[in-house]
Amino acid sequence: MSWLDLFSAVCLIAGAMSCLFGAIGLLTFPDVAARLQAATKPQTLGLVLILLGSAVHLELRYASGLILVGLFQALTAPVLAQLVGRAAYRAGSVRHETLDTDHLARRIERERGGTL
Amino acid sequence: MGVVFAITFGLLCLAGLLSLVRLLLGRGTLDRIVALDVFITLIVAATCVGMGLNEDGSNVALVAAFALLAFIGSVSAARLVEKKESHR
Repeated sequence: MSWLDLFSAVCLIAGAMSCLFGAIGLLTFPDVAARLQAATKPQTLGLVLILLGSAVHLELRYASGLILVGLFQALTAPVLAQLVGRAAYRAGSVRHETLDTDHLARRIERERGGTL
Repeated sequence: MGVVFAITFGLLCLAGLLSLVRLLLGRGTLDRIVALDVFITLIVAATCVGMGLNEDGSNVALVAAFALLAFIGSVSAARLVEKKESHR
């Protein structure tokens, strides 16, 4: 087992563990906002680690494609989290007693005051 | 090295099973959207593990297309839910 294989093995196992923790969080957390937290951060980290671990075994032209996939995931996960979080807030499936501060409530109040 | 690939694949399958449970239990459309996004990410990861195992990278285009489709689908579904809620 060479050093490159060792590096790949560590990356693969750590990435799979991270994905598993994300899925456990998705199953056990109480509301949409908390589940979103579990669904984006550990998943992105896990996917990037797995891409890194398997890119070591491939030719250079394919490995560059995998780097592109990782970059794409890192860019799109925050966008998705933002959109789903906002939709969840407006749909009323966020528990307000668990929030520390609530900047959106004031803004929605002002928007409603402006339109009515 | 084969043992490492087997362990990785097993962990990913377990994670996929858990996200499928969340997808079936649901409690709202947004939960299902999030669970489906996680599931597709896990499929992408598992495909990459398979590519590393076979040392054959010809599925890179498939992986990229899956990542793109997951993003577009989830975003449009979330927009739809938000639009429906704001018209209430």
